[in-house]
Amino acid sequence: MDISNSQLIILLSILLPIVLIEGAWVFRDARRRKEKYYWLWGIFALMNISNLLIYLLVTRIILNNKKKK
Amino acid sequence: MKDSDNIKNSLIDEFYNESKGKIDKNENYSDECKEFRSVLNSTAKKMDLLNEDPFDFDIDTLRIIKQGEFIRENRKDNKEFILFILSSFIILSLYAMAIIKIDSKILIISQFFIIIIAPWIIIPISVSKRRGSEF
Repeated sequence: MDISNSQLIILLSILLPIVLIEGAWVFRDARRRKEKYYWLWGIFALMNISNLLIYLLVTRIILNNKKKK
Repeated sequence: MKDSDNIKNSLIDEFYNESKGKIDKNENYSDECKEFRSVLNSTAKKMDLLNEDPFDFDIDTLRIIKQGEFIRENRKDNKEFILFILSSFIILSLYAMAIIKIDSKILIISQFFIIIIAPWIIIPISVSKRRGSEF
């Protein structure tokens, strides 16, 4: 499937602000939760929108169970 | 020392009840003595103001220190956040330029790796970290 340059630019101009906002939110949230590698979490969230789900899974479920115990 | 200076010293001693009877009666009621006594009285009134405690107020120094630390931490956090936004912008710009200039397949391949492989790395690491902290 070939994507033209103009279509690519439109796609990126829509997606990049979304991932930037997502990365910023994850960065602030990880820092507030006193995660050790909050910078890495922020950059990880920049890579893809679905990475937000992985972050939430790890911090809210997996590591949260650790804190409760 | 002049006589007038001696008289003045005697008047000062008498004013502060340190000695009495040093001044002649004739000189005691002279205009100069009266004037000097009035100067001593007005000076004493002015100095009485210092007897009051003007510093009678409560200062919660611990609260002020904590507030200062909070402001400092906030500033540091804001600077770090701005730095993160700038570095994210640079990373995403380089990524976008690579996709546009080199090949659009970079987007598909990189996203494939991120979506499929990243969860298999991060989730086991976080589970092992949790188990490690339990033991």
